[in-house]
Amino acid sequence: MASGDRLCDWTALAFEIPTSNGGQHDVRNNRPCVDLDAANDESLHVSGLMPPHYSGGTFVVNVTHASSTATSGNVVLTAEMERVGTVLDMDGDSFAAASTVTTAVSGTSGNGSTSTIAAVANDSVAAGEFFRLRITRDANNASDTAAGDLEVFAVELKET
Amino acid sequence: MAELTTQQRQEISADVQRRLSRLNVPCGATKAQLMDVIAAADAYLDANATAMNQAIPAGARAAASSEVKAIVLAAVAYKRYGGNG
Repeated sequence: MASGDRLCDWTALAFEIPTSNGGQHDVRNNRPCVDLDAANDESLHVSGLMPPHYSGGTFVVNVTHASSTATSGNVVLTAEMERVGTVLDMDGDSFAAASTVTTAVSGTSGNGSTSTIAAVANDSVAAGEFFRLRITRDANNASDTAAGDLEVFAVELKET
Repeated sequence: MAELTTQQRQEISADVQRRLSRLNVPCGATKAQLMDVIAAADAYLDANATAMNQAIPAGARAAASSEVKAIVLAAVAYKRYGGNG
């Protein structure tokens, strides 16, 4: 396993919507996305099996998104890993500490941007184990200044 | 009627942002700048409420409720300066 190699990736139809403070599935020009609100913190989840070539490091999470309306300002995104495997009671959540990044939105309506969230804690997940990753827009963070929804189209998980 | 509270203005801001998002209307203003617009519009309406009401013909002024007048005002403003209908 080489550093920086892709472990998993998901597009919007694979995004899971939490019942509490979840985003909303949407489409933009027939492209599926999930909208994250500008006024309230909202999240999406992605799940998967950790590939066998994962060697136990922290993660880099790339989130591809566009703004529904904003052509200025920043968005604040967080990523949290949750090891499930055979050790977690799935009736509850157990996400590791969040890592955060602030990204400027595109100045051109409809153009995408990528937020890269570095050094995401691995929650001791091991190769072959089931896991879940939570992506949240920290909308009430003072640094989140972009108006309107953030449309998330894809999430990529890489090893640091 | 006093100016709206900060909480009420934040509710308007959230509604406006969701509406802009649904319509995919490009917005160059940040969240803070949108709040400034809302505050200015609210202050203007508060200061000019009497004049605005007096501009309505007497019959309609007496017959229509404040809510009806507000809906009409918003619709006229949006037609003039914003949407296509």
